[in-house]
Amino acid sequence: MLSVTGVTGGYGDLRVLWDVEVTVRPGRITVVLGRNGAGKTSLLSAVAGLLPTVSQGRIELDGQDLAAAPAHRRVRSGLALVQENKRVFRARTVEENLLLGGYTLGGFGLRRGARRAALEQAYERFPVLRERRRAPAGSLSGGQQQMLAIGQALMPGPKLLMLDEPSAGLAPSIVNEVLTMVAALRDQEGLSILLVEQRIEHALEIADDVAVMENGRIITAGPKSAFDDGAVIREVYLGRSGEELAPGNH
Amino acid sequence: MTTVWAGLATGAIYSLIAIGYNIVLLASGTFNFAHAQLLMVGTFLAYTGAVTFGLPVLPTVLLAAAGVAVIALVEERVAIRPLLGRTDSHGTLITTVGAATILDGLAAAIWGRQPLTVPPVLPDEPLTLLGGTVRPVDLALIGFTLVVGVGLHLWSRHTLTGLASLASAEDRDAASARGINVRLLGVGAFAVAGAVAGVFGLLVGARTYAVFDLGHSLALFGFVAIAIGGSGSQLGGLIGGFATGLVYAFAARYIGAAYPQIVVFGVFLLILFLRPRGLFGAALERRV
Repeated sequence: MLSVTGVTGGYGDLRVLWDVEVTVRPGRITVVLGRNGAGKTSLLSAVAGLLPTVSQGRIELDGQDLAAAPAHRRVRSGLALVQENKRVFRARTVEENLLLGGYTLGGFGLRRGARRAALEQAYERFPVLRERRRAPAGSLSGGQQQMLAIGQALMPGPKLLMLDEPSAGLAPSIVNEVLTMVAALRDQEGLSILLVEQRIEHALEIADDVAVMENGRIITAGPKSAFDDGAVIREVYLGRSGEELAPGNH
Repeated sequence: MTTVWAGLATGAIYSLIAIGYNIVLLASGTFNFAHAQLLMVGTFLAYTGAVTFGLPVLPTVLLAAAGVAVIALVEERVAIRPLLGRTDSHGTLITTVGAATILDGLAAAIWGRQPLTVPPVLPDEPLTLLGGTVRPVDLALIGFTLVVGVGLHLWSRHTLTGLASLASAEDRDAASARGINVRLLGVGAFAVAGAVAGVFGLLVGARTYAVFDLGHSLALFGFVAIAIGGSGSQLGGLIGGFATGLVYAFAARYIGAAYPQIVVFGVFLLILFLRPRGLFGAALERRV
């Protein structure tokens, strides 16, 4: 499904990713963990085509190398990103946000054809968005904005959904709701998911695979079962160096 | 009422400047300080088509529209694109002001420093309308400006590309993440803004003459129109332009010919103090 190999990049001369390797298997969730500033958001930006510089490496989706493709073309290839901080178009209405999510669906009619069908599906998935479809997105609660951001990303029917800290700034009860929904997207719709999440316990509950980042590098990765005792995760978050943190070496 | 018609005709030109600013601002997040100069070039190309080549109205309009669109695209390529992606977002302020200065200089070098008379496309006999007199060409200028302003407003709210333009203005990265080709939108906006400026070259030139420093004087009133109407709102720019023209005309009529600019800038300052977003402006919130 998604294979990121040897990706190095950053912001102009400032490198923030070093030789990063991550995979997401079809219909599985890979969770990327790491402390603040580890490079998790930059990794998602690199995959989405939003990191200003990717100097080397391959980003393959179903065997198609997207490393040189601009961001809008990656969306057409099946990548979808939900950015951190519930990044919706706050001045636009809920429905306009969803329609913009379906921008790549083709056709000129705003509410016609595939876009209309996808809009109906989004409302079925998130009924509260239908109730508030004429409200400016900026007026929604945090949880509703996160639903809108996810609904928007799902509009074009992506192959891979990337979520950047979907629980950030949400109440604990809403966090459970959002992460349960993420798991449902995998279980019921077979969607492949790359999830960056600070709430480790919640994220590990739904993970199939785990990658741990530190200082712009993946320091260890593997199936979730290799991380079950929590030692690697504890060591990373307590600040120890990443040496010898491969699953099974602790 | 004659003062109202005069104010509306002058205001239509200010509205066109504000509309041009907004087209580019909404789609690319760039404030094109050279837009008034594009309108100035439009008046010269209209003069060239109508007088130098003796072309009929439609070919003259097409010549001016295509010519100014190409110049706008060159400006985007030279003054904007090299700065895209840089963290210093103020660079385009400098480069577009530079483009404006270059266009002023080129116009003076090509067409000279003396005002050139652009022939009116309609009979020059004033009409009596609603108790005032107005030249048909001014009436056409007011009418077509209304059509373009309202049309662009509806387009931005009710078409996918229009919504994409608003989304891009609000958050370029988020728009890219939704599959919107923000660079193409930006280039297209320069071309459309240039074409609109060119289309109106004949009507504007008939009211102002074609003169190399026209853009310089119109740009200031375009800013006032934007300040009154609010940046990012096509309807606001349209109304702000007409309001500016009316204030100017009434100040000239009732206070004195020496004072309209002072009054207009007084209103400008008042708006900045009382309602910095303008009457219809949405704050273009940006994440940094």
